[in-house]
Amino acid sequence: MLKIGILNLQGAVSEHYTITEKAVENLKADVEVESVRYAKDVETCDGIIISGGESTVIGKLIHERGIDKVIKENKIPVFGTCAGMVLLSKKTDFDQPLMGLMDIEVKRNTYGRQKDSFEAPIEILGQEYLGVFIRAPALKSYDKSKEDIEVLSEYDGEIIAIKQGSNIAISFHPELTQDTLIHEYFIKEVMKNKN
Amino acid sequence: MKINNNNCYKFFNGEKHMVEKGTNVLKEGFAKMTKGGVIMDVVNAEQARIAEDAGAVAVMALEKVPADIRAAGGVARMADPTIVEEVVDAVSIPVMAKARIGHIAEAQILETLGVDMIDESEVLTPADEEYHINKKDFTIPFVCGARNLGEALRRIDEGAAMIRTKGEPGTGNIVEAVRHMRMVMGEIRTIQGLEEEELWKYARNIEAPIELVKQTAELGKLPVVNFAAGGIATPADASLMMQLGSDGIFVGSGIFKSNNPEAFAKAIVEATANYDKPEVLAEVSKGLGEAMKGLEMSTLSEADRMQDRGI
Repeated sequence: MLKIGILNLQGAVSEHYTITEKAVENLKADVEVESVRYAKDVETCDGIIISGGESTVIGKLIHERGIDKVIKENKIPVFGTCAGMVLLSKKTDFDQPLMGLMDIEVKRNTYGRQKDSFEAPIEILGQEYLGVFIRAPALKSYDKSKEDIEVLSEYDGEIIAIKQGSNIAISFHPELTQDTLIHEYFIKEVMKNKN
Repeated sequence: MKINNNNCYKFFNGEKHMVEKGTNVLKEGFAKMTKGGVIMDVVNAEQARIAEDAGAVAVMALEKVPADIRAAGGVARMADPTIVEEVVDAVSIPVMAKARIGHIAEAQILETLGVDMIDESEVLTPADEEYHINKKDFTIPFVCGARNLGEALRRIDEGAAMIRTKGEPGTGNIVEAVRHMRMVMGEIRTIQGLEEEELWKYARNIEAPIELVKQTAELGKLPVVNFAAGGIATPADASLMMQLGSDGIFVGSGIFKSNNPEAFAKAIVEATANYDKPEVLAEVSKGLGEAMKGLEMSTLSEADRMQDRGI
């Protein structure tokens, strides 16, 4: 039995919990979904999901609680959406605590403020998908020398989804839709990683 | 989440789905991103930076904090756009600002200035005693205050993407916020046990749309994010409101009317993140210096009660 932890520090946590449970059900996978708040709980997980929220706030708590250390030591795969993407990056345009698990640089609020937030049809994993972008970040650059990096989706000239090893960073919010596609993909990645 | 379903349904049935802005998913989604966080009132760029450094999820730009509005008397209006712009430029986190109840033009101005969410707030002197702003006309989301379920659902029906307790702003007294949160939560528990025909009557009694009453009963919570506001002055107050079921905390005068704003701001953020850990609360509450002085409710005249505005 695998365990996916939804990092419950700040942001749209319950929405991720619900859609992850739905993804598990669709996959008929032997996976337990748990809301986790401290390093000792994160340590017991085979994969971690970081929700949208304020990356400055979530990053500070991750660091203070030693969650980044536990994730690195145990090489736990992380799926980050929006603020989660920012936290997975090595660098942003703002001075803030990051986990730096992926060789990517992110620009926060790429599309502007809330009045510029938008929904748009995108393509990811070979399928149509509804992208919900809320004060969303996008990729500024990534380390092309790394062989394990794979761009998953682009929209309007910006990279909005990228994968490195088993870590996945996306700039939009699947947890605000009913579509489990990307969550199922991450769960499968976690299963592969475990084997 | 009905709207989500509709959007996906539309999209995946092959209908053309254009790029859309200002949808309910985006408005309510923005509010969801603030859950578990603290939103702080600030009156200038310096305070905004203190709030951001302390770990605020957003700041509320205004001309005076509620305690000063109360002290100053007179008509309280939207902040000067210079202040709003100054705050917008100072921080990377979202910026909110207050418009008077029913003041469509103030709200339009704030939207133009790039504010991320508008608080249609009873802290300011109402511009319209009959009608609230039609919040569906705007691209950016609104938060509104409520003392009970009827008020909350009326505001949601008008397009509010987030609800907060009214409490009694600028008093540093938590008693009214507690009353309002307990009232909403209690009413939700009541409707969860009702039959359909009883729900019809309940909806009529609280003057709320039946669809929203049913949706709330099914969800067991408000259909939008629900914060606490109005009288939060200490880390313990923040924890109390979280334990009563708040999704997050607005702090108005509590931070910048205290003796040590940096320490208070950090402590209230810590307390909100660790609301169920008394040992952490004890630690962060130590040596903070004096909290804001605070007002006892019985000393307020009826005209001084902000919570009775815009019901």
